[in-house]
Amino acid sequence: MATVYNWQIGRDMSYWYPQARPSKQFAMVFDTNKCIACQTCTMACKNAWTSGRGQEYMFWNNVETKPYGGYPQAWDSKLLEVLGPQQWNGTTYRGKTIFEAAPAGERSVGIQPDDPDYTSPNIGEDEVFGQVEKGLKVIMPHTPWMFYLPRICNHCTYPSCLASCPRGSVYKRPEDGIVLIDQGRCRGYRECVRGCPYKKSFFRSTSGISEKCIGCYPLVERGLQTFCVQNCIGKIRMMGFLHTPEASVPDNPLDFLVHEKHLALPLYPQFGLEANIYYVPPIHVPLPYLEQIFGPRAQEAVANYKAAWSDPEVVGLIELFGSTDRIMNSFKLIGDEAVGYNASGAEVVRVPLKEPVHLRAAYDAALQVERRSIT
Amino acid sequence: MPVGPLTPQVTAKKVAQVPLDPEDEAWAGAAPTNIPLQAQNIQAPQGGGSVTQVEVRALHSTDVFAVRLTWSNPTDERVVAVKRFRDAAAVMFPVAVDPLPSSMMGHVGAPVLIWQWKADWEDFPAAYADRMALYPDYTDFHHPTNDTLNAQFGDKPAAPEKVDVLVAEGFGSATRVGDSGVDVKSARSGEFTRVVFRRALPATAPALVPGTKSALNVAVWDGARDNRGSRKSVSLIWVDLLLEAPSTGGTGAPAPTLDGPMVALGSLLLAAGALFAIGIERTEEVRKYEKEQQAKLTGGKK
Repeated sequence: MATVYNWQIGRDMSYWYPQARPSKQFAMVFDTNKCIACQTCTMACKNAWTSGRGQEYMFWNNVETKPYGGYPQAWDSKLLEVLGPQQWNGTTYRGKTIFEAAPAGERSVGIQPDDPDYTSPNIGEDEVFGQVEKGLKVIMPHTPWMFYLPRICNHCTYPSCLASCPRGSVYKRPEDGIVLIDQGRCRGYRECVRGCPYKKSFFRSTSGISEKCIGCYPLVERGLQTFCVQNCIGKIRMMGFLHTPEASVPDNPLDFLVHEKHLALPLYPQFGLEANIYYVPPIHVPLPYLEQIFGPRAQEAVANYKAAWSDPEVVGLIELFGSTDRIMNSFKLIGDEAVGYNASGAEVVRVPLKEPVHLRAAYDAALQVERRSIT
Repeated sequence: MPVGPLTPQVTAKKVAQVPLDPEDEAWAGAAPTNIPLQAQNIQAPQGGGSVTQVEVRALHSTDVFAVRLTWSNPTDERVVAVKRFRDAAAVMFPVAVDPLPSSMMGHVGAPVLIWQWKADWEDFPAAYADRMALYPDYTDFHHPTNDTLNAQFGDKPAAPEKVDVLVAEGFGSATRVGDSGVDVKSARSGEFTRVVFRRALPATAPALVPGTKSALNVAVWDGARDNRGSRKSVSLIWVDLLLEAPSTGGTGAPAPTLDGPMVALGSLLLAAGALFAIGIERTEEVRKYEKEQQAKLTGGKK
């Protein structure tokens, strides 16, 4: 076991392998306030990668409703129950990570899922927490409440799948931090399936080999964002590369949202994996739940998002979400436009901060007809 | 001078025909060796321990070698699903015997050769079970049936090979080297599983030469206890393996197994004579005999 530094929990922790950060880290930001659970991301990923025999049940990308949903079922509540209540001291985690809580003879605390756990992938969709009382009106936060949580593999800095494999069949690419299962080396032990707390490693019984989200690396290698990001209807996702907080580059979109503006947070940071998919928390959900799922900075992120409209740079970057299939390594506001640039500094997209508005008269004098909306 | 085997020994009896069938009556003539097993508790993830011993018998002819493993296995697991693990068993040989590699899957620079039987490989494609049949209580289990999958994808998946043949140099390094002519067959006998591995006596490693000592080790995976990979019942020490040297003339005269101080150093009979080579010091004659045999196996070179 080695000692590594995990900035999400603000301290050193033990991990199976020594510290080795990639030269850049594949990361994403998801704005849960805009997700409508249309599942287009799920279908994009499935059609691209998991439409083969033995992959029918796999959703490398899934969207679940919180609090009652989960794919596989109860993946998070089961693990939280086994871990037990743990404490944060400010932004330092004083509890046990899944590695520190490992039982004797194991590399982490983990639960081995079973086939039926993968049934009803959208169970609990739209189910709210709390009763709808007579006379209820909308207040913030909502009571009752629910929100949509889109999830992919977090391509963690300290992956449990990688640490769990006794053969070293899971590896993290040094060039971009994407975590992959070597299909030639895997022998289907499913230790990674047990070890991943997010349950984003899947066993394929037809081949006897496990599979997971590949970060659409063939696209990333060509400077393109992943399929789930490209296809998102609501433009809630952005993929890019993230640095550590002390190496943050302010005009890098991911660094800007996560480190500069504190708008996006990792999923269950207390597990200790330094997950790299970051979420803008749903501002309508009560704080205790948000703190359990996104950590102690949830209140700050909600407040920052509520004030985001007044910050033109934030507005500009949010307008850049879903505007291009290219990865943006930097962005800039120029006048009333937001511009995105690729790794070479070439412009890849330009969007207005405010969409132009065109007014059309109700009566078309030239054609002498009423203009009607046909929907 | 060693007076007998100090460690458990497997003696492969010389026979005319070596069977693949684990229930063949020829196995009754091979002396059984019981190898105790324990849980793998050296490297996480740890596990195993539900199989406490395995009986090993071995037979050989002039050109074929076979070893049979038998162990108590009340639950016969042959199906693989997300949380279903199948039974497996493996026999391991050192690639070189001097010095012996670590008995725990070899060590760097000292490889071992592993033959692994997997219950679902033998039974493919039946082992790719219809999920609907696996979970009859789940009436809403929306999983395609095998009929749907076959219509969509054509033939059912096939097992990669019959038996898994790997080379390893320590924990976690086992690498498939592909089918090397090893045949395997299993049988159920009450609550016992029997597996026979059979292969032509090779000119390559492991060099199993009648009359000379090699070694083997075993491991068993109990699918019902979620055994796989490093979660297995293992033996931590090498077991001597000796192939009885050929006897003269008569087809029915068995080579006697003798222990204790025996067969003095200078009085071995070569070539047409019988050679008793169990647990004794090597002599010039024995070394010469070994060289001759090796030359025959390697096609007369050197």
